[in-house]
Amino acid sequence: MIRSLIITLLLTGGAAALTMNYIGYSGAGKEYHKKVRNERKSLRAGSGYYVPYHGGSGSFRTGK
Amino acid sequence: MGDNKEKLQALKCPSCSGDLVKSSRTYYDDDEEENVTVPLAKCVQCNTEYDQHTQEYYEVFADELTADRDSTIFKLGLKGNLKGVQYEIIGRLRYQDEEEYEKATWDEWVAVNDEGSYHYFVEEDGEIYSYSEYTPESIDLESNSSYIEFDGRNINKSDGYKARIVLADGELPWQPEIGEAVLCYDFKNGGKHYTIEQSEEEVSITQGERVTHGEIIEAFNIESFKEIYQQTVKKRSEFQWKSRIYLIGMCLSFAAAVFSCFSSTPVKGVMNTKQILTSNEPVRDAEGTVYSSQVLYGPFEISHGNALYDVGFAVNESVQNFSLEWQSIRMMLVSEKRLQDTIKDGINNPAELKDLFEEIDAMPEPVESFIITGDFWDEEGRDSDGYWHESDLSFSNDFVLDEAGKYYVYLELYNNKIRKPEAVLVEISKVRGYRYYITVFIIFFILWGISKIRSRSYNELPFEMSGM
Amino acid sequence: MSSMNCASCGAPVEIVNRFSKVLVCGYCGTHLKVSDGGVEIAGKYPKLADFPSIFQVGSRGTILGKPFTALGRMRYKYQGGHFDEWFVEYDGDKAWFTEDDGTYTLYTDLFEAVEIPDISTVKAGQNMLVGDKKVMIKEKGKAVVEGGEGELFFYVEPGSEVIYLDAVSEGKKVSIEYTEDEVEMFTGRPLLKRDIVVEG
Repeated sequence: MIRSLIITLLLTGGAAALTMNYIGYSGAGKEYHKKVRNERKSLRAGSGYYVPYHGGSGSFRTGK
Repeated sequence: MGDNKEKLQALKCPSCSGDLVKSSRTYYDDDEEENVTVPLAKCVQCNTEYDQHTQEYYEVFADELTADRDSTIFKLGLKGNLKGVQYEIIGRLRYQDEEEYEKATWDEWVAVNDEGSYHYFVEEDGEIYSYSEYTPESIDLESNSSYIEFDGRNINKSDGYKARIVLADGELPWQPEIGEAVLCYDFKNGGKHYTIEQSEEEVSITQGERVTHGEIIEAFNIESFKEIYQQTVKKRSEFQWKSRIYLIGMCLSFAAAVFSCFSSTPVKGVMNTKQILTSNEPVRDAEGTVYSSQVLYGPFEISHGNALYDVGFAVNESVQNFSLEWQSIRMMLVSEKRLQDTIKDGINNPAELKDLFEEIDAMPEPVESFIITGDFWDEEGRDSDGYWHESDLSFSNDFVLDEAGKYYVYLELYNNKIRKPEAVLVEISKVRGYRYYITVFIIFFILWGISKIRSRSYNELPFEMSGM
Repeated sequence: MSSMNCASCGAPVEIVNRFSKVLVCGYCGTHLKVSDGGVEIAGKYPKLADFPSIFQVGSRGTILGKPFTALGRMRYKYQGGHFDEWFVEYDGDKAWFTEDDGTYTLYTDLFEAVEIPDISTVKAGQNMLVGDKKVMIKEKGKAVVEGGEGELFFYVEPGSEVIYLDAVSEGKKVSIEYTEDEVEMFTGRPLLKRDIVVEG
């Protein structure tokens, strides 16, 4: 019983801590800049790292 | 010698006196939509089959249906005092539900009490009932084809079931035969349990109440079960408490998830100021032509830094219908400060802004604070189930924004048909996260379920016991 | 109470209950029919063996707090064993008490020569109108009279076959006995052993 009480407290507390600290969520702003900056640095010069997205697909439903 | 004995004991076919053996038949069940195999007794000589509606079937399968005959709380000869009345167990009958192919048995223990009357203890599905003969104020079994009238109450005849005797042991008030059929009705009336058993020869009416295994073990002073019963009860109680604790955890995490889910604060004025940088510019490639648009919304104020935000996109059908087409969206959240640092006064010049956003992915230092992509689509077609029409006209994403301030939303739209760029709704809200509460809720639910099941099923006793 | 002598062995016999129609001589076992003029031999049968019962002829006590005297019994044999039907004087009136494998029933109401449907068609679970009573048949069986002792209200020769019907009606137990000559119906109630107190 004590063990289940501890498990309950740990799970509830853990969920609250993860939520409050935004663990696991994508970061916008500085975190994003850092990530993108690193990505762009790692690309070979002149390779062209962005291919403009023209979107669309044959069928979204069928995944083709 | 041994062979002769076996032959003497072999069950015989009533048609040809051939030996009866266990067999089975497979047929296609229309309801289950699969092949079903059912057990049968079969004559090796004339191949006559005997199903579960025949006495022969139970004679052949009695060994399987009584294999656990010793896994019971009662034993013949047991004596005890239950609620002030002395009982002695003198006989036993085991019944099988005729409609079941699987084992579905219960035991009826015949006892005599110190009054000299017969009494019946029924062990069924881990429960024990104590029954004695009952004379109803009124009973009518035959006047109505659909119900029995019993003490002013109507009992549906469709609730009746046929039971077959598969074991008879000890002293019994009559001499039963294996496979003998009894039509039974079990029901409750005024908090009491009643059973009507109707055979060709007799109608028996009994009234009973549930008794616990603990009461029986105590009443009959069954030493061998006392300790393990206590142990089982203790363990079940522990699991019961665990399930309660996990239920509390479940409620807490659910409440937290619901609270978080419904406590969002919209960021005001996101779409108040709009600059259409390009509108439906055709872009040709190998697959055909798509139309590209660029829109810039803002600036608007995001008042809280280091907070979770959700951005949602939806087709604004009041501006333009969305039918049998697709649209891809790339959204960038751009801070006003960073935009100003990049193009200085060009922030008020649509041409400069357009140039910037066309080159934005090529800049070594990212200007945008976040990027989200997604699609709207509406499709129809035909498949093996016939015509279908499906669509997905919204999506959302969340992110943690570190700094408060003024921001722009830049949208890059690609459509296969010409669409108004302003027909995309953008909403940004400050939200609370709930994914971990949902995860924990699911974990608690599983733990609660396991504990609940264990609180009912944990058993060290050699017989089934439900409840405590 | 009237005293007289057995028409067969001359032993003194006495009739306690005014309703008694047959008396079994306690010495020689001769069945004596009781008439206004005395007793006459109905038949000679071996004495009923000493089968154990809650009562003996002459037992006194109370049933449900009211006084009774056990006057005599008929013993029957049936598929399930034996049962005794005691003729008792109960609270100043006649009554019947059956003892069947430790199950006791007191029948206080007698309906003589009742009309019932063809007995061969009667089966368990059936409703039946007996006189003005609607009864539900619980069991139909056959029994053979093994013998009797003491004073009896009914007399069936030992060896005769009786068809009996156990039934329920209006919360009461009903027993119907069918012989070639007549049909009797009794209504009564089940008893617990604690309801019966035998003196001595």
